[in-house]
Amino acid sequence: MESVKDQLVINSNETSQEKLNELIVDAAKKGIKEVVIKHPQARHNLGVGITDPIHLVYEGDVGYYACSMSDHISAEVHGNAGWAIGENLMSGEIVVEGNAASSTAASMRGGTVVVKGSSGARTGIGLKGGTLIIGGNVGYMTGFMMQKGKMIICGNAGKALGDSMYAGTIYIAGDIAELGNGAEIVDLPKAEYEEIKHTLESYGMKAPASFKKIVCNGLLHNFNKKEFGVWKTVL
Amino acid sequence: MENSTIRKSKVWSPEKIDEIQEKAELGRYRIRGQATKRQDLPSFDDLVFTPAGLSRVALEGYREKCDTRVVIGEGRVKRPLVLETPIMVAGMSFGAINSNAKKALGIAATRCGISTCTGDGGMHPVEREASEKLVYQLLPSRYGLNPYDLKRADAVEIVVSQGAKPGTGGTLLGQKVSEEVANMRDLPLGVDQRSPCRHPDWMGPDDLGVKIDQIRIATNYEVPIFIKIGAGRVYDDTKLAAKAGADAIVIDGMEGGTAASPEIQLDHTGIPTIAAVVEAAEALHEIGMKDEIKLIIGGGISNGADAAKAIALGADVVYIGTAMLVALNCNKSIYVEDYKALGTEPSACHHCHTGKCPVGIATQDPALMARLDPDEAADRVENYMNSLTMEMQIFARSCGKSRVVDLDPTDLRSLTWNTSMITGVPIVGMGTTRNPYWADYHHATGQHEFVAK
Amino acid sequence: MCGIGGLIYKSSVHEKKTGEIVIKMLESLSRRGPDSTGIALLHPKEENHLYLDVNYDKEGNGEKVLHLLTEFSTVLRSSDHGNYVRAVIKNVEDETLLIHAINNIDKDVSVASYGEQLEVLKFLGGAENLESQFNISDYNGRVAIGHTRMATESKVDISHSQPLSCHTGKDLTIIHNGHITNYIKLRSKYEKKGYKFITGNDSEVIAVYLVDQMKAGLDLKEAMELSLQELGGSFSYIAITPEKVGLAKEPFGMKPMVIAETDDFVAFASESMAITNGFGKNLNVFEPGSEEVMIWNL
Repeated sequence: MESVKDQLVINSNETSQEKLNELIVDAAKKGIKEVVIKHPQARHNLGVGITDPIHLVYEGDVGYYACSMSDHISAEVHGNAGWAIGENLMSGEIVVEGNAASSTAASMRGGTVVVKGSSGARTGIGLKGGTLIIGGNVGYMTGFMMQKGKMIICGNAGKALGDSMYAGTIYIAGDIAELGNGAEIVDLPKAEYEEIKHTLESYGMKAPASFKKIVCNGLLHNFNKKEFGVWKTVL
Repeated sequence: MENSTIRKSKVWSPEKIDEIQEKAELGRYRIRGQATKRQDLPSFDDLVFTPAGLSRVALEGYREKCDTRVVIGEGRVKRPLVLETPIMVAGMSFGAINSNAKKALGIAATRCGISTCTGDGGMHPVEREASEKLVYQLLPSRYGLNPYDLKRADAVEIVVSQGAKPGTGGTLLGQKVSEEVANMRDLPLGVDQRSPCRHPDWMGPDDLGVKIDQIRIATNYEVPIFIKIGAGRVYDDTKLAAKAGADAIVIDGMEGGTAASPEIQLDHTGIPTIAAVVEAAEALHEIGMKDEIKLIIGGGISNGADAAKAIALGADVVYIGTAMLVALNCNKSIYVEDYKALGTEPSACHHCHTGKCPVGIATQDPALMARLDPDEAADRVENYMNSLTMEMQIFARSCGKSRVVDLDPTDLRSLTWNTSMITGVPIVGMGTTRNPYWADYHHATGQHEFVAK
Repeated sequence: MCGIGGLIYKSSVHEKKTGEIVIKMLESLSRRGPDSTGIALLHPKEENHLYLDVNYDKEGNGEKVLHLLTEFSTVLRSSDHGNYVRAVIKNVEDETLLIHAINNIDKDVSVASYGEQLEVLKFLGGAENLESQFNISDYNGRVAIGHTRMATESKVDISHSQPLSCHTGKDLTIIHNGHITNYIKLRSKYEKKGYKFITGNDSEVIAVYLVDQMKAGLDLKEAMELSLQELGGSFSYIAITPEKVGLAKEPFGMKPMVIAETDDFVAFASESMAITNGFGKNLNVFEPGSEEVMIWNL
């Protein structure tokens, strides 16, 4: 009987998208610990819907929706990521060495996504849990309608940061082009700074000297007359 | 005759005055449930069937077979969705309606071999258990979305927008965001939930193609994927949904229902279902995909005549939401005092948004919920579904067709010019050419000359 | 809704293979735009030369275009591609008259682009069709920027394909992904000002807008920056002139675009897959922010 190997190496150049995902799903089911994907060529939908524990190593750029709709997975991307990496991730850990495009970790529900470079518009949009860490800058509408979880941003943010957020916390070190509707900056307790610092260091990232903490101010929570006053500021 | 001097204005009608004064009080637009209350929309009622006589032979009711089965995704996915009759229960969220209502719809649909749909807000275990064929909605809000439920679904419906309120996201007022609803949606208890109007991770038909691939992979290419769009720019949208790779396209007309929407939007956005079906069918014909991709039409469908006419105009299946709730008991003349307390009466209620549904459907309040016995209610819905099927068969058989899906536009005539223009279906009396024998007589003017004048 | 892929070499001494790389990029963007493919190429300036590209639909009109060209100019090179004429001509006395004459041959005939250095080539279908018609891979110049189109509201034909130009805008063309929601109002405004619209494609108004603003004295960067406020809807667009290439993204960040920059070149594409495919390797890509204009001087 063939013994279960610890590692499977797939050359994405020689494998169809359908087959590639099938191989990863199978490997995870069989209990293989790690799958290395060579030459991912920024292809879309790599490692989607994986629900058994597995460690994925992408030796290059990945396209849209890498590691999305998955649970219990961990992944390293040695390159950049396209739109919506880690979208709807349930649990696990994804580390991107380079930059991520837009909609990073959209609707993520748990686990940790780390982008060491920058991330584009709608980073952490509709976040429903987990932790999202961005080493560089983030674009427009980051944290829009965030519901739970936390984001740590080491660089600057574009406009509408935390707009319409319901709950959750955004920590940002750099400048904010414009704070979103319904979001407010509050004091950062020292213990929370230490926690952020510790988290960043665990990914080999240096923590900036200070962070601003952004939470929901609750003004958009219920339809009432107050709300129009809030809206007016952006109308 | 003292009152004869009191004249009510059409411009400043009592309704308009009331509306303005309500806004002046509230400081916002009105929100309510159900659907548009416009009286002037073109409808399927303006069409009639032209049954067989001598030129065609009708089929015998109860005796001669009239097939109603539809398969979605055949030849495209591993596990196509088989519907025993061309009806699907439209998406209504757990949150908008409660688990008793979900259960009743699921039981009835399972007995009739058709599907129900999760709506926004995730897959409730009660619904998954009750409904053998469950369509899982993937919406901009992504409430309760997870890979396990996705893999448990029998079809996935990517919702772009909803007929009642195209171009905007869902609304659920705080009074209905109970603890269970809040947990399923990851929301704080009691907030007014307004879902986003567009998806977080794709912005157009180009990105949507990649999204569809993603769902196909996550579901192992097993189940069909629908794209649901509120009727607006139907012709272009249908083509683009097909290009993006959908197995079925759902077009939801402006008569479609909702648990909560700005009233002004219900009345002033979207296009009526009868027009939407024609545009969508035409779009699919034009790109040569009418047979491959199924067209599902929803919005105000209430009986077998509506359904059969929609199918004759090009739909493959009809989506029915509100009428299913009515079969459950919505707007029924029971608990009349509670209707009154809401400021309404049976048959005119649209207070789904308040969470105080007198008949226990659109509420999360345990006391009100107890008014809906899911098993009894399931029987009613099953009866209603069966009667819809029988009604559709009446029209198919009377037109000499042994399959409901074989109904076509030439089986119809239009009663009004309006509907004739919208559907292209000739107006009644156009069975012959418009060149009657007397047209050339000196004493008469032919219709074509008349029109030319 | 579309795909964009382009390459700009920073100096005239460069690695070459410009056309080959961009064609590969466009191949991997076919899913984003299956209806048609087009490209803008920048050529070195040569005395008196004019690149002229013409759309037509009806059989036989290509011959009429070619015939007209011989009447108005010395034709250096020309080819008829079924519904597109590609030509390099010389000794044109009055350009405006020539353009007018071509546009008046028939309803379906229109000048896609003309310029001393810019050439616009387009064809229905994918990048392979564009390549087989025009041998884009042979192009080794400094700038090639291509487009794959998924028609949303306007017609699928060559004249509606991109790149699109303004009929009075020599040596300026644009490539757009998205939708201009105030197209109707802008078009009527510019038609009143005397601009002629060749197509029903909303993207065309971007070219007209830029030409109009530049006529009023703005440079490309200023015009593009102003466009972020004045054009409605969703867009990532590229504008190409012999001196500059510009990229603009609207305030909502709705349309994708990634950029890879080295000492030698700048490459950009709707999806990084296109860049990886074009160069056969990973480059360091990033997504520019929203409400942003980037300019590269040539």
